Amino acid sequence: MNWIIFGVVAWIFLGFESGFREALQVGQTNIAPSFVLILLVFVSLWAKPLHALWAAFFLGCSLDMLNQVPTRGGETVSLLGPWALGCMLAAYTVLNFRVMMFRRNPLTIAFLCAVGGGIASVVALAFVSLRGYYDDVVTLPASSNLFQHGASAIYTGILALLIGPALHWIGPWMGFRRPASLAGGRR
Amino acid sequence: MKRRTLNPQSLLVLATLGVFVTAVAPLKWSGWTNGLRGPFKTLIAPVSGPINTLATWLRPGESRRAAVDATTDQLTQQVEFFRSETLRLEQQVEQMKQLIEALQSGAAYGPPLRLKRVEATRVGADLGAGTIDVSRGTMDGVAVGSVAVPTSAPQHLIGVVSSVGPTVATVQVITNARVSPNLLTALILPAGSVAPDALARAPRCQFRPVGDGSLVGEISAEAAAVVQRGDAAFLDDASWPSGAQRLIIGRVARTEDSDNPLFKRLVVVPDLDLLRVRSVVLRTPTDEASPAGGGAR
Repeated sequence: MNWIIFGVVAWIFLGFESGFREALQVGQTNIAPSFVLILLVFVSLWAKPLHALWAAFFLGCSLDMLNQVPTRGGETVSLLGPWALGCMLAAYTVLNFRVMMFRRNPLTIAFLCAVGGGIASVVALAFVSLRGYYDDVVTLPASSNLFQHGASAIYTGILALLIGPALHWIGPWMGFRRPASLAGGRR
Repeated sequence: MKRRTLNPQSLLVLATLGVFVTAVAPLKWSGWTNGLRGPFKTLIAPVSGPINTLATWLRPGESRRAAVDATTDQLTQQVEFFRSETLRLEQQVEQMKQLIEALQSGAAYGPPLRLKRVEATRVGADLGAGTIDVSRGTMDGVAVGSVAVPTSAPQHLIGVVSSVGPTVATVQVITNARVSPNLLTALILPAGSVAPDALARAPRCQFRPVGDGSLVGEISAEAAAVVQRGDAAFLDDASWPSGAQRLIIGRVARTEDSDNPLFKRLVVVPDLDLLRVRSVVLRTPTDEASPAGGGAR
């Protein structure tokens, strides 16, 4: 895996995550797709397992820095860990799923984005909710959060249908071998 | 003797344990991670800034009010701005009177606080936390508690800076259900009214953000009788920063029956989509004699 190209692509995707997400927001809800999770699933589909987990770690830490949690004192804080652990679990899930999937099929990345996004969100939400019991952070009821995160994961899957082909196109630059050259042909 | 080194697998396990610890450790031990956000946002700002401009262009959210024509809208904005300023000055006069009384009774004199104003563009938003990121930080004198108002409509309140890095500040918008302080006491005034007697008679209501972009408060049925759709709610709450006082938090969208027949529920909606404003002015209290940047008042 070419980490420099990955870093550049991640930088651009983080820019989209921070700057473009609200343009795709559904009404006044918090339902919006995640660009970073699409990249995470793509890397987990094609990279070596260790590389995929490291990429998930870095992308997850970046999401932790982007997502803030309000405190009772009126400030907002970044918690390092919830999304990092969630993304690593999502990457691990994709690594297990990918042997059963046709990786070039656009529906594969869409399905895995919905599944992986859901897993990452649930883990991140669980950690933040847990901290709400003993820490100063303000959390919303888990039921409303779960619905919004679940819907966002599905929305991410839909967006992955559009972004997935572009990622497949730049995949060789990131050091992922073309599928035809892999053992097992088009898988 | 064989030298032991960490392989990537062991390093990944250690890194995972590290983030697990910071994920569960209370803020007093893990609060240092918050300091990483500023440099991180600075790093991605060259990408997120232009993309955010594109997003705002694709999905503008400046005004929710029905536009009549450009000139009328501009004049209406100006009237509202001066109305808000008049109300704020009225409040300052009251504060000055109290200060004079305090000085006459022997209180120590301190320099009055001024408001330093810094313009900043929006570079991102966090929908979950109900915050927007703007392109100014501690290097420009912005601090936690600075008040954000839209550049296009400076009589409206967007929110308060909740965290600040060297070049990027995060503003928590007033319509987010987790905003703190969670209650906003406001004066409800009909259009055009700024006279002192109207101020004295104006109903006051304590609003709370409900999370759908509106603020809801309960008011006595008697007071609700004089409230009409479109009346503006001006913040008048000592628990909020001084720079936010007498700014518009929204307009009465509807009056609903509440569980108690003696009370009515008022629903107030801001004129702007607060998460999508293009640029803001950050008002920071300062005791500098001649503050730099943005022009002080």
